[in-house]
Amino acid sequence: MNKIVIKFFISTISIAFFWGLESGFTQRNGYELIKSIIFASSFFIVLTKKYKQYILWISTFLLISMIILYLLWQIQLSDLLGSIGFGMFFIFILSYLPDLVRIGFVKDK
Amino acid sequence: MKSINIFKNNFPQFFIFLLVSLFLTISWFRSGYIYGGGDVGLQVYNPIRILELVSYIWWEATGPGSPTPQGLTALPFNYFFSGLKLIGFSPLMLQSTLFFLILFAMGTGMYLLILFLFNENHKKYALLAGLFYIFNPYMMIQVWHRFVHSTFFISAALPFLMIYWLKWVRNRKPQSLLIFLIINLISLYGFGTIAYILTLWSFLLLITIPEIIFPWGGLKNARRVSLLFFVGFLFWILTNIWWLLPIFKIAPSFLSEQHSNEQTLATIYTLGYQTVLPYSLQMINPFYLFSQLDFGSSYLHIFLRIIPWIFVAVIFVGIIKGLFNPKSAKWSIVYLLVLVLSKGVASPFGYFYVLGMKYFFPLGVLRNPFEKMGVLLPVVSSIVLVIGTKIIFDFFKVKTNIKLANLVLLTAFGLIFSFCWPMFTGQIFGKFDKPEFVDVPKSYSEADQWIKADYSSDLHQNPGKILHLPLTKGESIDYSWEHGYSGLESSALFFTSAPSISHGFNLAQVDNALTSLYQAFHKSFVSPDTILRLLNDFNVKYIVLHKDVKLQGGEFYDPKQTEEKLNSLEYLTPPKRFGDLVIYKISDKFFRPKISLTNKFVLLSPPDNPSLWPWILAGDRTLITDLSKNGEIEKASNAFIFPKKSFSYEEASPSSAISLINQLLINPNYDNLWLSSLLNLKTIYRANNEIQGEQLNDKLISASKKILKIARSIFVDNKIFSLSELDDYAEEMKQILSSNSAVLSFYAKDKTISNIFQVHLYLLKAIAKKTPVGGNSAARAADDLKKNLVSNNFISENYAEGEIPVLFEKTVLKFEIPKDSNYELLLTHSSKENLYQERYEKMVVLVDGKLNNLTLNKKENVTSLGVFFLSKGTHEIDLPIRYSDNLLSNKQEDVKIESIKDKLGYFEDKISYVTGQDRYKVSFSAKVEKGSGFYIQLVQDTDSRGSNNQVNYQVNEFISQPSGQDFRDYSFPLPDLRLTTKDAAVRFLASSPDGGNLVSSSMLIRNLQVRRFSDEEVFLQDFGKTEPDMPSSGHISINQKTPTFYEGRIQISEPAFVIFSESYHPGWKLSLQKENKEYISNTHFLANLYANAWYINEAGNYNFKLEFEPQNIVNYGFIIAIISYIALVLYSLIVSFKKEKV
Repeated sequence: MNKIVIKFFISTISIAFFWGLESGFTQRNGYELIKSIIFASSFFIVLTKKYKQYILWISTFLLISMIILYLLWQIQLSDLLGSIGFGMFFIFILSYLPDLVRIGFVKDK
Repeated sequence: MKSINIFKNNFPQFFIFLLVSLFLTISWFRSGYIYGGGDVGLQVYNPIRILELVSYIWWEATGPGSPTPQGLTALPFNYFFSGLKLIGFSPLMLQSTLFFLILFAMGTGMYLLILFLFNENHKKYALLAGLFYIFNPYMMIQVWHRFVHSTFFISAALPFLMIYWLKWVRNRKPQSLLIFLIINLISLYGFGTIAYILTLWSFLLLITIPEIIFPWGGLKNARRVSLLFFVGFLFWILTNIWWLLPIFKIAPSFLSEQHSNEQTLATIYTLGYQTVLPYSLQMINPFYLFSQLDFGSSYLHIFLRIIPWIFVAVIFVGIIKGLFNPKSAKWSIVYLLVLVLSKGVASPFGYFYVLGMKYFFPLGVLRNPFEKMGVLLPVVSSIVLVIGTKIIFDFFKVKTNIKLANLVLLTAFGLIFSFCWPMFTGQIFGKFDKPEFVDVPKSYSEADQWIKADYSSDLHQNPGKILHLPLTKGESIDYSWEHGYSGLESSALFFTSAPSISHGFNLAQVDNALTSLYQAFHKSFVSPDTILRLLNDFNVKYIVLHKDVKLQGGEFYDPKQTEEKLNSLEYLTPPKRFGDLVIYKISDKFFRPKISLTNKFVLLSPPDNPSLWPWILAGDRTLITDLSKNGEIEKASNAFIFPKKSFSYEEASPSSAISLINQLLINPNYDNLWLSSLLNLKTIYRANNEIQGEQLNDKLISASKKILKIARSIFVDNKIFSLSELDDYAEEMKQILSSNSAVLSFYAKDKTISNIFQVHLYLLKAIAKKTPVGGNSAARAADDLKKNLVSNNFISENYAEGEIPVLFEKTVLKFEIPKDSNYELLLTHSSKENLYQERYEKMVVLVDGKLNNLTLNKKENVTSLGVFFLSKGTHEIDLPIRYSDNLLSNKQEDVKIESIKDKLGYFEDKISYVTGQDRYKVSFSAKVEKGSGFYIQLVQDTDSRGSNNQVNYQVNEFISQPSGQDFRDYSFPLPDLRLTTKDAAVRFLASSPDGGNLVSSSMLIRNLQVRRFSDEEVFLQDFGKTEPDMPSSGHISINQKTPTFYEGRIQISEPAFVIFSESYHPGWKLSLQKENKEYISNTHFLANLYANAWYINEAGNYNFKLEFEPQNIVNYGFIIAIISYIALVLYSLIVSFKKEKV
């Protein structure tokens, strides 16, 4: 229980980190804060590990949507979904850092 | 031996890369022309000339000279290519050889890298990776099409550099480090783009860290790898110090003059829209591919837009599945990090670039991350693509059979390579249907030969320069040659006989002087004597008139007019013609040497914009500017002091300010009208992605609303306001005006903002008077605001503050007075005096706020306003703004404009008596009956058409105004007309922006006026000096040894200035020897607004040496580099000797 609280606390703080990294704490097109919250939530989920795979599925879905919207010339929307998808994917891959540091790769379970 | 083995073992693959490179080269050069233009110009046209240039960090050949230390990086390449040129290679052979070598190196480099990273069994995948490295969207668009040669070299060298760097950090073999450094030396040209230093070392760091942490091998390993990284870096610094040190010593000040922080941020934001993920993942640049359609419209087809996603998908498989393999896991992380670095500010996680550039100016070199860091993308993509391909291939192999798997593999890669079809057909340089072929006319080499023959005897003893007209202010030019030419101005390459003054340098001081030189041939008020004086000041010996220059955009005067003028100048010899080139020579008796002596001079405090008046006023006296302010003014026969800063604004009268404030207080709906200029600016900033401007504008709007809110609560609601609200407001204003003054001066150019600030001041004063509580805070806020407005040049120091101003519309001039003296205030004559009905006999002038009613006294060239005693320091003089009569031909009262259905309604009125650079104020009343506003355009005969065939108007602004409201008054200045504009008009369009669709609109215009600002220049003349000039009685002999070293003898019978007609730079040092004693002259001045001068205060006979001192750094650097190489070679030999012994 305690661990969950700590992870939740860290993830909440990470909203500020992601918002800063996204737009320097400013709202330009209104999505920056929402994206930061999504990234922080993804971060929380990969920390808890249980639903980690869902992040990969969601990000894959978003990246595929990005391609479809791109092909339909909906670049802004494509970028919006793609950047969220890529951010989640990035967080997902970075969640394997402990494995990489420990043995240099991820063991197939 | 080992390399022979590598060659033997991989011969078929190498042969494939050879064939591919050969095929591409033949395809690209089958027409028999070289390619050129753009930012690069003609790098292979004359490598011997470039070698001469880049051997020195002072580029004399691009007159009047500039420090270009980054040119040193081109030394190895041009040394090699000069050799090829000497054995008879033509420019075509040189360029095709270069491109072939680059292509071959790209393919083989990536092939060997994959074999090194994985293993020898990966030959099939390594071959595919090598081909993918050649044929991918990034290489096609960003490398070959962009045509930046430094990128060619970096992208060809990166795989090799990676191999030997990883060998070094893994095996600690000094031979690997030595080979790494030799590859670096061969590809040194790449670092001509300074940003690639950062790119290379960021990448080496990125690939070294995994050697430590994936997996963590303990502290010992971490220390070992870190030490190897440090040693490698140190050797890199030592072996490259000969070009690194000059760059970092000279370039920062040079670059900060060329690019401001605000420009850098605006650029990175704008480019961020081109590097959003959907584009950067595919490694495409939408600007060239989709907007400009440089590769044709086929790329709009869905088939071609799908193809890149094939390799993106394979890469993502590689990233995920690669994590499970010890050899490939680290590359997943490296790929993701490189992608984040390459896409710049685009979401996600892009703001770190903005932070870096805001607080660390040198990071500005990465203002185009997709170009500078993006060059790493093909490298990491190729690696991860191999991982993904192998996984997919193995999957198919298991699930189906090897034949089908091979078929899928070949089809997929065939499709991926087919995306780059313009590479195969040779349509990647320029537009796909109009390749950027360059065929330099023969007349250029003939003209150069003629000058060389005419001049050779004199070259070192009496150096002079070639002035090329028209003279471009920028660095690029368009020629109407057989295949055209558009790109870097390259006269210095065509004309090898003497330095060429042929383009600007993006440095205000030199560019202003060059602009004056060019304009002198076309301004009626400039006499032939003044033109000769300018030619002498710039050390011009020959003039080459280019009649083949394209005259688009109003930047150039018609060469025919220039020719007429040149033909009329008696001191020029009769012209010599070579094709479209006409050559004039200054007769020997009128030519002034590059280094000369004078004791006839005037002290000049220069104007902050191009002006011919200093030269006209000085006559035959040299213009000396005392940059170090060391008191030499005492020796001047005269001094001209031009304003250090000038600006114009409209001062609010108390009655109009109070009536506006009353309206604002009563009617909250009036806020947006009052702030309409800021609200309009917001849309413009947003459209241009100028985020800093937008943020500043938002703050201004927010602060304005805050002060109104406070005022309303006091004056309308009769409440006591909260002090914290006032503090909030004061803090916001402080942020706007103090903390970011550079941003403010960059963005808040619109002087209507001055009116808004003045309302703030009035409101604060009124609040201070009205409330006992908080009155002091309001008064303090008002004082702070006024102080900041004065220092930011929004209002005059003598702002009337609640009283009726003496001058409502005024020009404020700030002078820096060098010493206590009497000064005469002078006005140069207006070029169109007859347009001004109001002829001044008297003028009200404020000198440091003191009212003076002055009587004007006309003299030759100037009008005197009187004499004042001014003490040393800053002084402010305010003059009334003078407007001409209304210059519109149609003076009708009301004009109705209507746009219905497909018919765009507009009204255009021609401005009379137009000449280039005129400045106007437009004023009118407008009422919108239907629609949301209207457009105003400034139309000129010099307006050019863009690539999309749209006209590039200098002013094309949408003014937002709701329909149904009464007439609204507008009044604002227009920007200066282009240099050569002869016809201009203002145009109103009844239209609103709606994604290109025409919206039915209707409007009325009333009281339309366009009035010209008077173009007199104002300056002060030191009135106290009466001592006559002493005749010059000196002699100088010169021997130019190199572009950075001169020596000779000076004989002077009295103190004199030595004038050196190269661009001013503190690195130039004059040393004198007399009777075995050496004197280093520390009195270095700016001469003739761009050149160097030193004062010799003792008569006598001297030997002199004049040297560009930073060149010595290069010489010392060479010694250090050679010693470092030798040390490393010796160490390598010792290590291999020991190994053999073991």
